Amino acid sequence: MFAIASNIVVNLAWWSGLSLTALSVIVIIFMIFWRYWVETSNKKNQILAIERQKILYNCILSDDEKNTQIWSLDNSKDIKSKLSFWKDKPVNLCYFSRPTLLKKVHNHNPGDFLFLWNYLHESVRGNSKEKLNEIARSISLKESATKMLDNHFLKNRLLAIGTFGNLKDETASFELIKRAYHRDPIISFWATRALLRINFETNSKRFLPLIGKRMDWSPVLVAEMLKERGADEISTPLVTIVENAYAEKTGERQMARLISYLALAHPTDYTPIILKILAETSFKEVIIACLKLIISEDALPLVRGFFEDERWQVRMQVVLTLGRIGHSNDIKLLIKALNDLDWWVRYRAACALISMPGMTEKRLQKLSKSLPNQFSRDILKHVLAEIRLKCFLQPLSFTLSK
Amino acid sequence: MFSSTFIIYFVQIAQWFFLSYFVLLNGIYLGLTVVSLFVLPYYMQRQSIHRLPQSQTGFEPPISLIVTSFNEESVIVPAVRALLQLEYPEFEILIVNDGSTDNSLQILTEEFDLEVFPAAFRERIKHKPVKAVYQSKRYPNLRVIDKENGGCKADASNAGVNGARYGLFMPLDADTILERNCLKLMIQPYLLNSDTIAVGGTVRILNGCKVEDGLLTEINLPNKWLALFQVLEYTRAFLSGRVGWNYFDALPLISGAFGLFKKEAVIEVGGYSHKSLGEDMDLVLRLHRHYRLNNLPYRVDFVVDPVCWTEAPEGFSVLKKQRVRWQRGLFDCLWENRKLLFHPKAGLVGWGSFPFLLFLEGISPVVEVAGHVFFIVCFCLGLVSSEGAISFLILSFGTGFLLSISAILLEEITFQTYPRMKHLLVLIFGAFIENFGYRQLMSVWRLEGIIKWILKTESSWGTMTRNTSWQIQPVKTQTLPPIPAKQDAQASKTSEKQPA
Repeated sequence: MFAIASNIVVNLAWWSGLSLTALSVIVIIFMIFWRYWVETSNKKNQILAIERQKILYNCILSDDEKNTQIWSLDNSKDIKSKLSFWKDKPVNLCYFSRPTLLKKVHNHNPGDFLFLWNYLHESVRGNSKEKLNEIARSISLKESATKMLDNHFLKNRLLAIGTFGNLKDETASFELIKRAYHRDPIISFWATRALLRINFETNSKRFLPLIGKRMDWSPVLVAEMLKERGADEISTPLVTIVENAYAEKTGERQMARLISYLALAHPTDYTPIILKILAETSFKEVIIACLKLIISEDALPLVRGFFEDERWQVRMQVVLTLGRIGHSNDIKLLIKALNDLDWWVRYRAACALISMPGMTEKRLQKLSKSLPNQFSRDILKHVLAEIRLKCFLQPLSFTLSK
Repeated sequence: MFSSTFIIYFVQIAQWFFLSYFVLLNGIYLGLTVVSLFVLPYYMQRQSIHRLPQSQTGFEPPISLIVTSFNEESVIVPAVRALLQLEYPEFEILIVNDGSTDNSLQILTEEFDLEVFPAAFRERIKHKPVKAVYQSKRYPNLRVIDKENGGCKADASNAGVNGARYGLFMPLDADTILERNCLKLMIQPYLLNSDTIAVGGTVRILNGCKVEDGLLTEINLPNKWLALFQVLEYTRAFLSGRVGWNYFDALPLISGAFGLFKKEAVIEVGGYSHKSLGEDMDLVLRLHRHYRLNNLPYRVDFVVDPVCWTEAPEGFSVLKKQRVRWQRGLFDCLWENRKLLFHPKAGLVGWGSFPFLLFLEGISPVVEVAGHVFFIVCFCLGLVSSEGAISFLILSFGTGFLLSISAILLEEITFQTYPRMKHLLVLIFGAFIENFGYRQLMSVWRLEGIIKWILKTESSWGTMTRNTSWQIQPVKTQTLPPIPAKQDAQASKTSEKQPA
């Protein structure tokens, strides 16, 4: 091909080809060594992991539990089998008697130890958490975490942040505050969660409002964080956040997401602001989020006001809400909704009708015959069949539980 | 004198064209790999933190799994049972029986206690008529839509989309195996960005692996060369190509076997296309077209860690038909969505991934085959020196080898899916061997696909021979949940794939 081309091109092709092949060979050698190193270190770490798990496990569980329960971490079958071997042995590796051993297993690859410690912290409750903190203090886990705060690996940085939160260590607040405003959503979320764990009362005023500002935080993680505190603690601050966000004319999606978190608060606390927003807003997602939370019959006139809304999602939520809180005089509205152009509105209306007081199957069948069109009859038949199926399933599960 | 000058000029221009094309194509592939080398390790670190325990909050959006099935009686039961075991708070399984002529429906009815359900079926996108909807009396989240055969997977998928109850749906084949945590991982982009409309995951080759009752129990490499080469191809495509394009927010394809879509967005663009042989790519490109050209905010994402396993063809004839069909499908999709090409509003999709698919990936078989022919002719005519020939071959081999090796490297530094050192060595050997025949053969088959697309000839899907051992544990038919499984296993037989 290059007979009539310059020697430069031939040379370029030749040397490029050779360089790329040589690079491939270097990568292959690297991969083989890497694999060998990973396999070897995995074997070592597995043995160490068993030691760590066993020690921590013995420290946090009572004597009865020790012989009946084994932690099922994300490890190989090999580890589990080794653990089950240990399970039957009368070991007493409590940290009070073996501090040096714990120190040893902690010092070797502290990142893994932090992971295991945090894993257990997220898995247990009550007194066991305190026992884990005692262990941490006895082996100066805080120092390891402090070193890891600026670690090259993100995983270690997050574990360090999480450790401070679990330890409820106020001295780390300054470092965590810096990270709570980090542009990386995962770092900022973990730092905020840690701060709230350290001192909810003080830090909630400053950092809880971030849940309304950071749309890049996973709502599942936020909900988990809020749930962890419980409705008693979060109700008032959460309602205040929603009120402020509404006053500041926050965007539709952001507002809708914030309102959805109110499901974790006390209805008595959030109902006034929900009703206020519902009366004033025209945003679809915000209306839907509010309607989902309504449990007060006082809101019925407001809810009915959205019955003729041009957006089917809103109409669907209205019939759902009517099914939840509606009176027998809402049946007319629901029958009307059975003729709605949208399938989901018809379906939810049928579901709502069935849940209405005094609605028997006989009455529904009678109603079905009187309906003007096939669509509404079909949807009622569909929902009736679903109900029958549910009735069929419920006694079975009851029998099973007995 | 004039003719020899003309030939010299022609050869010079041609050689520079082939060389430039080669450098550009492989340069982009290598560029995408380099991007993945930076992106993936960081991503894996972020994900490793998800291994910490998380409780369910009720904020996880529910998902509809749509399993399209045509004559899949040998695998449908273990597949459904495996899906029922997925770790996710709320999901439904919707099997679309696309007019199967075997006993699929009967088997499903017996195994899952199905009953005809008077469903008010809602047809928002077109498909062949639904004969009946069945509901499992044992699993409230399991339904079967029995419909007339639509002649293509798109038709069955559309019926599934119409029947899906939830806002997000995942189309699946009956013979795909999902890892149990995959829904939890696939949902992440939807939680982090409310503009997300589609998410793809990684597909891996099942050949050689062991499957028990629809769950993957042992990971192995295939023992046939053709399947092994496909392992390398899939690794390159998913760990390098998809991750790379996703980094630039220009992902052009989500595999039909494994994706999570926002139902309303899919309905908005008319669902799956009956016309296209590559209905999965067509859907993604139409979504891009609709959202980009209408200035609507959206995100098509790819997450590398949720994994789905599927079987690859091991025979030449089936593989050939698959590749011809893929190439035709590619051109169908590109043609249907040609408005995206260099459209001012199309962003990096219209100016990056789409032109790449058309000018580099799409017509590369033409250039590659033409290049080979040109090279041989020139060599025979003495226009190529032996040094030049060897140089070109070394360059071609070196690039191909490096691309495969770097894909294996990506695999090594992230998942290490294949657990033994032997697996790694076999993969490296495969990466070496595939340059001598396999790649060239693929180019020829893909060229055939282009020719058939131009000539609009009939296409067929071929008969897929199932080689993986799907050990089925029959269930006692009784009316009470849950299902106690018997121990006797029964090997699966081969079954026919969905027809075109």
